[in-house]
Amino acid sequence: MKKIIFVLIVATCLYPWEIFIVANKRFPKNDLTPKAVKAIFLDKKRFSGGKKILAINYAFNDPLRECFERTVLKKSRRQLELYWLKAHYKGKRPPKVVKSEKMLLKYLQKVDMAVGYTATPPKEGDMTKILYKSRCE
Amino acid sequence: MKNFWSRLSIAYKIFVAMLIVFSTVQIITIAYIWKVESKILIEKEEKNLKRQLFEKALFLNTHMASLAKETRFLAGLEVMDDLIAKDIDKRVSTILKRRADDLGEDIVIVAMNDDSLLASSSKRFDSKNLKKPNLDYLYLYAPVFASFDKKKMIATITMLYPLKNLSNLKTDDPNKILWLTPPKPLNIFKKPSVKDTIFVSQKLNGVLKDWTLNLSFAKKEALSTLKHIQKILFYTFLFTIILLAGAIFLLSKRLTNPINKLSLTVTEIIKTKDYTKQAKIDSKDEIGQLCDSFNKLIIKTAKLMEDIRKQEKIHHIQLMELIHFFNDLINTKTEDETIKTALLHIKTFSKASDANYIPADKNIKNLKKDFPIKMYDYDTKEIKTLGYFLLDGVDERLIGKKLFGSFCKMIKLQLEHIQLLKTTTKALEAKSTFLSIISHDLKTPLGSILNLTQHLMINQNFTEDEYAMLRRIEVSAEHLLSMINNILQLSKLESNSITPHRETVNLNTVLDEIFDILEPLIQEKNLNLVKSSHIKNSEISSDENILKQIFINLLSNAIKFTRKGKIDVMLKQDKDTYIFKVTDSGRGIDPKRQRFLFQPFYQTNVDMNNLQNGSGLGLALSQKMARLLQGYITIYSEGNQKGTTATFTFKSFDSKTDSSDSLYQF
Repeated sequence: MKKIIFVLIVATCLYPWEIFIVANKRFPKNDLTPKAVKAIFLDKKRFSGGKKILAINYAFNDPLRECFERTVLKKSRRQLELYWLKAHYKGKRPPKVVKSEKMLLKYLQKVDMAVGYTATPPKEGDMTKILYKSRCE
Repeated sequence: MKNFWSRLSIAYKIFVAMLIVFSTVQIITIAYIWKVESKILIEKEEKNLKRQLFEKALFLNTHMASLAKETRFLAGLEVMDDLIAKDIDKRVSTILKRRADDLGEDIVIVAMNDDSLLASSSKRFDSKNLKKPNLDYLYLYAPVFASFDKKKMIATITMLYPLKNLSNLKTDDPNKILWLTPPKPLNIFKKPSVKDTIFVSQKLNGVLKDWTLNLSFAKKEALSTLKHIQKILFYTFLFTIILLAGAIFLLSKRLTNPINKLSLTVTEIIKTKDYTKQAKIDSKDEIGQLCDSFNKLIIKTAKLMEDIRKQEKIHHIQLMELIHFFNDLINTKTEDETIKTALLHIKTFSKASDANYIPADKNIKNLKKDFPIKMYDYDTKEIKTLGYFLLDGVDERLIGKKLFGSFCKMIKLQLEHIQLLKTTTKALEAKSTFLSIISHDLKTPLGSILNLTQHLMINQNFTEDEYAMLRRIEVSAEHLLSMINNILQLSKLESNSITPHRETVNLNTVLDEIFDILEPLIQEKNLNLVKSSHIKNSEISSDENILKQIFINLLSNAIKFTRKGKIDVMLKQDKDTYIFKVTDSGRGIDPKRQRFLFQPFYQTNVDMNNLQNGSGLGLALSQKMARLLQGYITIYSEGNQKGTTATFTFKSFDSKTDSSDSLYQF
């Protein structure tokens, strides 16, 4: 509960947010097109440089996820729901869900092919790089 | 013991027999049940236990397998990817905690990577705690692979199953003990005592491979049913014995009472000899029948006794009649009288309606020659038939043919007796005639011969030869006279015509007189005579003449048969018996001839040339005379040339003791 309140406070403070698509420094590419980001998060693009990409999303009710879906994926909740319903039968799975940005960071540090998004730009020494940047409106 | 048993009442005997039989059967049954049934029960129980154990083992195996599966399932969860990020979100911890709570049994589930604890269901566990080998738990491992990269192992999920759960296996029965034996090197569980128990074990598989599950059950409990049955059997046994004792008591009372009654009746009958007594028993069974038979027997016995008594009376009367018959028969004097008496008695005895005697010389046709009277005829010396008895209507029961045969024999004997008497009387008459002839016709001429010879010898002068001739005539005549006198005396003695005189006799005087008479003979033979007299009472009551004659006879015999040596004469008294004993050293007597010594005219070593030897009548006369004096003579000699001892034992007529016993020894 505290965390939710905390996130809400942070969200209200930083609004309008910027969205940084981040990955491990060892990720084969250094930037991605919005199309590529979209493809990765809708499980259309699975490999990069011969390795499997691990897309990481936030929980369903996370405001950042809502922002990400709206600005980057450009799909409403309803559209996404229908999409995953269909994609499920094609063997596609939605991205991994983490609870916090901290957790995302840990994933990014540990897994080379992990791709996620944050509202705060990554710090130096985080061993991460920004592949794409977008703004929440 | 045998005595005791034989004296025991039938009831006790039956009871003891039943008891032995029953208890033997019971003991055998109990023993059999204990021996065989217990084995069967134990085998059954063992089977049962094995089945239970199998179920338990199956359950344990399944349970542990499910736990392992659970662990693997947890490890395969996608959310376990969070372990890469050390479970910052505590999502894994939450899942593990919830799972562990669901499973219960104090199970702890932890997730670890190589060096640290990442997540745990229980806060008590940290990585330090886990690195130490811990024998409190069973560890179930499952590797966690990243869901995005199946080759990447990110951690392990470990389920810690408390071993104390395994050491505390419960069974539905408190008497059954269920426990686990860990593989050999481990020694974590206490092994319960399995003494006196049924024990089964089974190897486990799966997670608990090499472990053994054991189950034991106290034998006592397993056999409790049997014990219960035995108890029931024992009580049944006791109860049956009590019932049996009661039944036998009642039965034996019914059985022995009549028997006792019977024996009491018998005892009374024996005591009182009253055969009219009857035993009264109401029952109709075997004992009742026995009693009936007994009563019948008693009635019959009483009847028989009565019959016997009657028969005895009849026999008694018959015997009396017989005695009368024989008495009358013996007293008959003539043949006619005999037959008449016999006919009369036979008629009464046989109760014949008619009895007749038919003489043999009467020729009657169709004569029923039932009872011939025969007799021995002394004249013709053959048996002749005198006549026949004819009897009508004879009671066959009273008199048999045998008895009649005996009567006929008796009659025959009497007839013969009568005939013999007739003959004897005739002979006696002849003898007395002969004796008178001797005494008168022989003695008279002999007296003349003797007198004339003696007259010649005294008055005439003869030459020596003539004198010797006359002397011989005199001696021969004297010898002949003495012989005739002896014969006369013998015949007198035989006809009992001599009766001894009763007079007072002095034995010593008699003895001296004898010696005086016989002195010349002894001197003539130059013999040594030794006399001795040991008498207290020399005066006795006897016949002096007869006594003297016997003394002379015995002593002169001794002198006669002794050529040289000595003659010992001794008179002694033994109480009221007197013994005159003459012992000589003469020629003796052959033992074979000794028994003929007292026969008249018997002489040993007859020497006809020597007329001095006598007539052979001396000892016969002496013995007969001795009997007149209530005495007897014995002659004893050891054999030829060994001397002779003659003993004359006699008594005074005044003697009170009857010497007839000793008198008729010879």
